[in-house]
Amino acid sequence: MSSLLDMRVIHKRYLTKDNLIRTSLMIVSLPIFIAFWWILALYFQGQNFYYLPTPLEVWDALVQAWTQDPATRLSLLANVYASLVRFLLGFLLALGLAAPLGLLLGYSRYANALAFPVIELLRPIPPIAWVPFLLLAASFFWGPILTIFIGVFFPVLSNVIFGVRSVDPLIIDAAKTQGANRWQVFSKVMFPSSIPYMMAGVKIGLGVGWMCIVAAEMLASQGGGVGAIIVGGQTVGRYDIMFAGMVTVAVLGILTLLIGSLIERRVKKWMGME
Amino acid sequence: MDQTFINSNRNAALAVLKAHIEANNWIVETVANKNTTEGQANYTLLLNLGASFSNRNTTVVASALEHMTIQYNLTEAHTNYFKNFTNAYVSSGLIKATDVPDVDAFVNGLVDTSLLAEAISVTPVSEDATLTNVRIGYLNGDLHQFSRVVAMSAEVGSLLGLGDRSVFAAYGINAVAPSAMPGSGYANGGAVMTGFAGNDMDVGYLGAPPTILNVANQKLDVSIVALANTEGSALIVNNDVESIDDLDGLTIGEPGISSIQYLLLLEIADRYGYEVVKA
Repeated sequence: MSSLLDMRVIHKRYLTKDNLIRTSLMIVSLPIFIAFWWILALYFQGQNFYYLPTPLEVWDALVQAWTQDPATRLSLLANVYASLVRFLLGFLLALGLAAPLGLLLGYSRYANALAFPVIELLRPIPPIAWVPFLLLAASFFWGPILTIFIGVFFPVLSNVIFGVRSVDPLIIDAAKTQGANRWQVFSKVMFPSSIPYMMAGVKIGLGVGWMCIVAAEMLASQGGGVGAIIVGGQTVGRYDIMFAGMVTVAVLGILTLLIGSLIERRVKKWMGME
Repeated sequence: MDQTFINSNRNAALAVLKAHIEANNWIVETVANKNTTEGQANYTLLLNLGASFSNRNTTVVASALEHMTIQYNLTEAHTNYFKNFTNAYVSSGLIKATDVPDVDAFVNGLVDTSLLAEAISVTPVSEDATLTNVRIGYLNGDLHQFSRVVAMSAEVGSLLGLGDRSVFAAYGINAVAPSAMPGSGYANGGAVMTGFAGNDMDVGYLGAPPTILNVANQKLDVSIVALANTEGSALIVNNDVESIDDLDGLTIGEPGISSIQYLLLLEIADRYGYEVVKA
């Protein structure tokens, strides 16, 4: 009887018409996209334009790249590893600096007044524009990493500042009424409140980070990288290789976003927000 | 050269080639006579044209001229080189074997020497003739296309007795830059080929390797119609390197995987039992 009740609850909660429609649409979404891509590629190729390979040609290029990508002469995993190392270093560096700085600037109006003009001046500059300078100034190893750093730093920073400022003044007053000192208000109220905003910044940064890495690796890619696959394929006119690199970035982007979401959920649980 | 351009405006294609031949011959003669009293002024002009285009000093231009052979004629020996290049690309995987099942047929279809033979007899147009716009793409600062630089010079046109106009203009051509070409020229041959792929270019000055790669992989309707030079692609090393074996373990720069330099590097490595790996 109890399990029947459970089933009814599950049915009521999950098997709604709206959920079924949404799940069905999600299932058919990718096949529709691939079919559309395939038709478009065949259409272009029929017109003697070969810059859009079919999904099968891209798959073949991926299979070939698995052993050795002819453009970079490295295996796909070696290229992915090279990009991932850059990505993680740049990302962690940005997070490690942007989070405390964001907390400080969100909390202290004076610190914010000092930093605001410089931050607003630097923020609109696309990270890609820094690449040539960073490659020369910070070496071919650190240059691409610092490009990712710039891409991730500003979204995280802005979100953390916004998060600290969005704390309900009533909660701060309540904490003060309970006898909390300034440090306790900061550490027990403001910091925890900024975490969801920080995570939103992290998610934006994850996407921007991959855009930056590809741009940086198109100019320099010590030890390979997915950007090197893309630019290498383009240079020799092997657009199947170029798209194989693009698909790899897409998959890596999804994976890192999933990991980001997982961490976000854990953090929220840990903070008692779920 | 773009095949659609050749088919739609064969006279313009022949005129471009004739200007190329004239410029080519002038360079060869100028270098040959550089030590004669009457040839010195022309040689200085040649060096200055090269220096101005390449942003290098005249010493570098003079050195470049010593190391490359300026020539337009396309012979069977060159076609055989192209076949070797294509075979190397197929075996390295940069060209899919399914795209080029027959290398001989592919290269024979790519090379068109008929235009060159026909272009020899093209004569200059009258000074008031309307010029035909031809979009000519080239590499940034690359002296291998010295003929194009010289053919753009009104001073050389005047020296050749073609009037106060460039060699191109004398043959009825107004050489214009492809709309998407960076101001100073394309970064490498692969980038030049995007001009053809994007239907933005009629004539391109670039090496055979990127042409072979992009025609094979993109099935572009482009023909190699003449040479601009041979040789001159150097490996610059410090004084510690005296043999190929001294290169073992060193980091070697090259202009890109579609370049002749990269192909030569692979060839050297193959011949001497080394493997080129990405640093």
